[in-house]
Parts: sequence; C-alpha cells; structure tokens
Amino acid sequence: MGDGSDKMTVTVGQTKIDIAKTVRDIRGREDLVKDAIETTWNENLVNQMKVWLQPFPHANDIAEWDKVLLERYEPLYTNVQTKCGDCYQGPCDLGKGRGACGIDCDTYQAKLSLLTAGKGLASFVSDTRDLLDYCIKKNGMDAEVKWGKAMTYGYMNVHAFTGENIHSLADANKILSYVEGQLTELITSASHGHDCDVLDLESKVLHSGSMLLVAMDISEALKWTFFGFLWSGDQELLDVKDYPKPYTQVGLGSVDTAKPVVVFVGNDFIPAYEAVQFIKENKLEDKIEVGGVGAAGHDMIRFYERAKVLVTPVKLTKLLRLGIVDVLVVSDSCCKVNILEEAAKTDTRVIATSFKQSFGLKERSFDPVDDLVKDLTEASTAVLVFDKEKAGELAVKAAQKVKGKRKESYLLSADQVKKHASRCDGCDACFRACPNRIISSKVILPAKDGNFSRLADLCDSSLFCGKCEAACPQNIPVMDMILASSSEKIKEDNVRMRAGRGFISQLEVRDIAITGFNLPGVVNITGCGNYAGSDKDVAWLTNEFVNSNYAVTVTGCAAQDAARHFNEKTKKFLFEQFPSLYNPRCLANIGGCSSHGLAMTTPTYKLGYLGYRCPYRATFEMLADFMIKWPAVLILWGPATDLMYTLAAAHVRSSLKVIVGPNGSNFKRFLMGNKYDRSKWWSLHGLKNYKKEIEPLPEHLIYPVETKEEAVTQAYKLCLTFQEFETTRMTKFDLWLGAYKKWFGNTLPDDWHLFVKRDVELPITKKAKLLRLLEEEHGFEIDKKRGRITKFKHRDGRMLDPGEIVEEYGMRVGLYTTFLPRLVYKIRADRVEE
Amino acid sequence: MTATPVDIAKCLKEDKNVLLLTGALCDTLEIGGKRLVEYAGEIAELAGIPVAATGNTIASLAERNIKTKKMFAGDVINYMRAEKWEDPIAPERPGTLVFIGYYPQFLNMMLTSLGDNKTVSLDNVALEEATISLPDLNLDDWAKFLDNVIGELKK
Repeated sequence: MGDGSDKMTVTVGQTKIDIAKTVRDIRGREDLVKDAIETTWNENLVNQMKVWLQPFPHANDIAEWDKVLLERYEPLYTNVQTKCGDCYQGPCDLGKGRGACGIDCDTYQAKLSLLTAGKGLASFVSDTRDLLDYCIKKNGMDAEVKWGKAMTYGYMNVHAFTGENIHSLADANKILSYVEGQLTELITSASHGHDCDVLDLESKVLHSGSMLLVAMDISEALKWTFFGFLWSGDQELLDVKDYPKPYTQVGLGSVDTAKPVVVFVGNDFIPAYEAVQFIKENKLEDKIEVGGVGAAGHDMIRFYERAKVLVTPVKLTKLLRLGIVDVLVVSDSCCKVNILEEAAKTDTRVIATSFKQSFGLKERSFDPVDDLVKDLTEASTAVLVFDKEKAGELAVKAAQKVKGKRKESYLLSADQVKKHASRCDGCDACFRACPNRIISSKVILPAKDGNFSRLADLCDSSLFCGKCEAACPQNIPVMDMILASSSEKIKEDNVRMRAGRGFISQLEVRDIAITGFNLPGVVNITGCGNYAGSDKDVAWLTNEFVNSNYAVTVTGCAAQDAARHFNEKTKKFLFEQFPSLYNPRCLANIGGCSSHGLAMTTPTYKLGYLGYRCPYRATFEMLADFMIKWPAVLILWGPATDLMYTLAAAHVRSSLKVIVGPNGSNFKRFLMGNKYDRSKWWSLHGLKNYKKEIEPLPEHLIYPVETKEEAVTQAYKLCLTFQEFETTRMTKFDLWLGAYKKWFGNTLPDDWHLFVKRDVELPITKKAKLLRLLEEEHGFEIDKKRGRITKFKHRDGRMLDPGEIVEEYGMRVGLYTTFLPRLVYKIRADRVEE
Repeated sequence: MTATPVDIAKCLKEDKNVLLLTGALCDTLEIGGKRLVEYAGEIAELAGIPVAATGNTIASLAERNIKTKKMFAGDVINYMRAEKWEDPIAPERPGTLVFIGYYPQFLNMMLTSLGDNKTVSLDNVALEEATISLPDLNLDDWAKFLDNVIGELKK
C-alpha cells in the first residue's frame, strides 16, 4: 500500500496479523514485536488465540496473571506492624481502624511487603549497574556480549520480559535501564498516596521478583563474557556432566594459614578479580591464599581454581574471630555492619571498596599503593579504596606485609575458657537470645572443669550471630569459647565442591522433557547460610532429593553447605558422586547469587518452548500459565533477607513453589492456599472455556516449614500437579506417603485421598492398605478381589465411575488447560484480510 | 502479659477450644531431665486438649492418650484465618492456641500473624506478641514452672 502499513503487519504461515493489536503500545516496538511473533509463534496458535505480547512490561501489564495467583493463594502477613507513620497525618494506629489517609492494616502490610521487595531488587540492580558500568568503561558500549556455543535461545528471563536479548553492552544497558525504571515505579507505588489495593501492591512485589531475574541474567552474561567465569554454555555438551570438576575446596580447614591469607566478602567480585590478575602476573599463586565469603566467594571460584570458599556470610564473625585472615576486602551486602570492630579484635586489616558500605572511612583511592600498604601494616587497620584494580593489588601486597606481624593465634587458651566458664551464673539469658536455642548454662558450665565437648559440639550449628554475647550480663565471650573448644574440628572442615557452571543447556532441558513423564520433580536449594540446625542440613536435603531422583540444582551460599555430605560407602562428597547435569539424580551447582535466574525459570521457559511451542519472547504470562503444571520447588534454607524475599516472589510469579526454612520465617508474607475451599481450585477447559474443578494443587506457593524433614515432605507434595500421567502420580505418591511414614510416626497425611483419580496411581507396595483406607475412611467403593476402585467419592459427595472421575475432577493428560481466558483456544476471525 | 503456673493451668482447663501446638524443639530440648515433648504430652493429657504435632513431634506424642496428629504449623495459622474451620484436629476454630518448643523466629512469625486470636507461649521467654507468656526463666526454673502447671492441672 506504500503508506507504511506493511510495517504494521506480520505474516505467520498464511496468516497476517496487525501488530498494533498485539501490544498495549506498539510505538517504538514495531521491529521487536514483528520479530518475536515471526520467530516464536506458529500458525496454529495465531489462528486460535489472541496474539498478545508484553514487551518491557509494567507490573500492571501482568497483573491479570498475578491476580489469578493472589486470589487463590491469599497473602498471609506476619510481623504485622500496626503503627503507620508514612505521611504527615500520622502516626496512625491501624490496629484500631483505618488511618487518616484511609489506609487499612492489610494494605499497610502490603506496602511494607513491596518495600522489602524493592530493597531486595535495588541491592542487586545497583550491583549489576556497577558491574555494567565497569564493563562499559573497559570495553566500550558496542562490545559484544557472548552467549556460548551451546546457547541457542540466549538469556531467557530477558527474553520472557522484554522480547529482546543481550548481544552487546548497549543491549545490556538498555535492558538494565528498563529494570531501573521499573524499580523506581515499584518503590513509588509503596509510598504514601499511591497504590492502595492489596492485590495491586502484591502484584508489584511479584514484578520486583521478575525484574530481579532480568538483572541476574545481565549480571551472568557480563561475568562470563568479560571475566571468563566458568560457563557450561560454551562447553561441548558431552563434557557438561563433569563440568567443572569438583576441585574447589570449601571450609575453614582448607586454608593454608602458613601463607598470607586474603579473603573477599560481599557482592562485588571485581576487587577479587583484580587481585587474582595481580597474583598471576607476579607468579604468586603458590604464595598467597585467596578465599571468599558469600557472593564474592562463589564468583571467585568461577575464575580462579585456587580460590576457596570459607564460610557463609552470616558466619563472617566466626572467620574473623578465628584470626586466620590477614586482609579482608569488603564490598557490600552479605555483610554485618560491625566488621571493623570484629576485625580489629584479631588485627585483621580491612579494605572497603564499595560506595554503598564505606564504614565512615575517608576515601583513599588516589593514594599510591605502597603508601596504603605501609599504613595498613603500621598504622590503620582499615582503608577505603574505590579503585578496584588498586584495591586488588593492595590486598595482596598488604597481606604479604602483614603476615608475621599478627599473632600466631587469637584463640582463647584452655585456661581462659575455664575462667570465663566459671563466671557463668546460670541465668540462661544466652539461651533465650539464641535464635537456634543451642547455647545455655548447661553447655558453658561443664567447661569450667575442662570439659569443652559441649561447646565444641556447637561449632556447626552456631550462627555466630553474637546474640548470646550481647545478652550475657557477665560479658562472657561465648563465641570465642566455642571456637577455642572446636579448633581441632575446624581444621578438618575441608570438603570438595564443584564451582558454579552457569547456564543449563537445551539438551538437558530436552532430557528433562522426556523424563518428565516420570520425574518426581526439580528442586533448587538456595540460601544465605543461616540455619536452624546445622551446616549439614543443606547437605542432608540435597542428598535426599538427589536420591529421590529429583533434578537438583544448588545456588548461592547453599552450594557450599550442600557439599558437606560425605558418603561413607563411596568415600565421595556429594558433588563427586553425582553428574553435574540438570537431569534426574544429578546435582548441578549453578553459581552464586546472580545465577538464580539460570537455575529454575530459564530451563522451564525453554521447556515450554522446546516441548510445547509456548512462545517465549515478551510472553511471560503464557510461560507462567504453562509452568504451573511443572513440578518444581525452590527451597530457601536460610534467612529471609530482602534479596531472598524478592527471589521468592520471582519464582512464585513463574508458578514455581517456594518452601522457606525456619530461619526464613521472618518473611513478611506467605502465599498459602486453602484446600478446603473448593471454589478456589479450578482451571479453564482450554477449548470450551469453562471452569473445571481440580485437585487443590499446588496447595501453596510460599510456605514455611520447621524442619528439614518437613521441607522434603512438603516439597514432595507441592510437586504433585493437577495434570500428570498416572505413573508420575504414582512415583510422587510413593515419595510423599513414604516420607510421612518415615518421619512422622507411620502416619498418612489426612488429605491424600483428594489426589486419587485412578487406582493405578497408588504405589504398588502400599496399594492394598490404601485401597482399604479409601473404602473405610473415605467412602470409596473397592473391588477387593481385583484390587480396583469401582466408585470414587467426589468432594461433593457423588459416587463416580472411573471414567467419570477423570472427566469431573482434575485435568486429564492431553487436555489443554489454562488459567487465563484469553489463552483459551478458539478460531479467530480478526485477522487482516489478504 | 506474663503469667503464673496457676494462670496457665486455669487457661488450659477453662478456655474453650484450646489447641496445643508442639514445635520442632520439643524433640531436641531437654530440661529438668526430660524432653520438652514429654511436658507437652503430659499437659495435653491432663488438660484434655488436642495437640497439633508440628515439626517431627508426632512420633513422641502418638503413644499418649491424647488426640493428636501430624500437622504443619503453617497450615494451622492458615486455617485460623479462613471463614470456616475445617481441619479435623479440632471440632471448631480454636479459641486459644498454646505454643511450646518453637524456634523464636518461627514462633514470632506465627504469633504476629494471628492478630487478635488468644495465644499462649509456654517457652521460657516473656513475649509481648503472645497474649500470655511465661516470664524470662532459666532452664531449671522453666522445668519447675512446667512441673507446677502440671501439678495445677492434676488438682
């Protein structure tokens, strides 16, 4: 027609589509939308479904999906705060009624929830921006961002939300700018005079999570392209199962304290990277010990084989009090604020490097390195240097100078431990303050007679948070006593781990798609290393899931604790025992904090496209709608940091379930369903567009548990889906009911019968008993001779034949189902005429 | 508000629809020579109250002459906010929830989500978030307190 209208149409097969009708606002997005539709939509789909994309969405663009979730899994607020002082009209006591502005208590909790998520997002986005700016300054805006030879689809979280992908730093900058804009909008929504509906606010919490995953993709892309991080996306696919080899040493006992020891902590790995370059250039690899704590540690091991991961960030005090660190380089996040005070107790020198954590120190970025070394050796114990190259060189040089100037040992002597123990008056203030309830006068008092074993026993389970010392009216240095008592045990703390490998390939995803028919589930275990129980609990969890044929990934600081399981029969650590694949009965460490986006959502988006041709560019709602049927659980076994809160939101928006461990119970808000309210459990018939009743599955989206046994049992249940093959259901039933029997006193859950739709789903070894219980306790009719269910009792009381129950309850395999009316298939008449 | 053993025993005996929740620490904590779960079991038996055995505590309680079942603490607080109480552990919505043996963060999470519901903490820490709690006690005094509650229940 010559009027530019061709620009506004795209052809898929024989069908033309007006792209202006496929997005909320097409302006500036024409080429993107055309390309996304051409490359990922097929003709069948465009003729039966509204083509709708949400490139660079605001939260409200995806609110329809969010509200499907939030109406089923109603927010349950904890740590409820009733006093609101957010505006000039307050403070108001919302426990007594609405505030002066009209806000009610629930809405105020939703605002606090959004602020928490906003902080979590901000902390990561800020670090990503620092990293990106650093890369741009070094390499220029046009520098290519690599994918890797095994990566066909690129960075999937970026794809799902923007429709675009990252091929250059300019692309990364554009996408990160979008995320930063969303962050501003989200935090503004939480402030006075803005959003005032609970579901709108919680929808924005979920959006914060999604933006976090986009930022994480950017971060991972930069780390591998410009810093040579380990990256399975660039390996030969047949080599991935042993990539990387489990050479990484983890634990305090892995440090050679005869050498100068430099440790990096925080979210910024660049000072560590620069330090390692300096070490290599000066051939100091055999002369310097380099260790990491938190994200810095998990990043370092992906570019330096000799780096060690020492402790999780919460236990930094343990590391410092041990006195083995000569120089500590601190960026931000993961950090306790009293680092300088703790470091000073053991003459550990500190180099601070972040704009966001300056400790009140004067900046010395422009001072010559040798002057700084001299100062750190002789005068100051801490300096602030924003120049990352300088900080890296300074750390190495200072450690070499400081070594030998510090004491041989900073641990208490046996006599000192006895003396301190004898001052205990048995008040047990320490017990009442301890978040794990492990320390008490019963543990301390035996030490006054030289029995240190009870103190030594706490070495793994103590968080070293310091609450006991702060509470003790006698100022007994409890943490120092634990360390002194367990010094020999600490020397044995040396396990093997695989460093993070990054990307999960589509070949692995294809394998999962094939095994998905019998796969009990996939699980990602993550957390910041603050556990009720012991360091070994994460290892226990990992071992349980792998041996239950789950596809297991670990990310973040949980990875180092997952490594702690040692199999006495095979004489191997967990990472040595299982292949590094995203496959059943395999265990892959994906990486540090920034790799969370790669572990769960990315492979599942790929599965949606590879297995089911679900478009993946700017079509997040479609992907999430598909993923609710995928048996995947994220286990957050650690504290409820802002980042973890946002991460949980990211996963639940993608229909992945989240289990939060006991030390994460500070979570502001859980998302729990009510299995008794049948009106909530429906899915749309994908062709006829009516609501069908389904089993109450998944029962919850974010759920708190107290013990590791509860975590495993609940994960087994949350991996049940309302549309699965009978063999899959049987496998999952077996695991779930078996867990109950093993750990909860030979009982069965009281709702198992709600998920029985075919007798072939009943685990064979338990079938006879279960059939009997179905008859005696739940009113089913059973043909005992043939071992078959002849009549199922529907939840509404009706007795139904086997053929009827699969039609009336749940979704049979092969039936297309959706939660969004616009995704119901129907022949479309609104196509552009040829 | 902190209470005496007499107050606690009165509450357990006289309040309507009391539900005791036993947390994970009941299995691991020992005071006065016995595990916390044994105190919980005795209290439940004497007061005739059902027990939501959370964590892994069901194994220790199943042998006692009490109504108990394995529950998840998250489910209890979830069901408390529903319009209709449907869980079989109690015939109707509990009027008083009694907690013993929970990690402090976990307990705080539950107490603060329960709003105006009546809550009693039997741990040895004075808690503002609970309607009634024990005063701050050392482990020996805690054991004595619970023994006194049991003594009052036997009367």
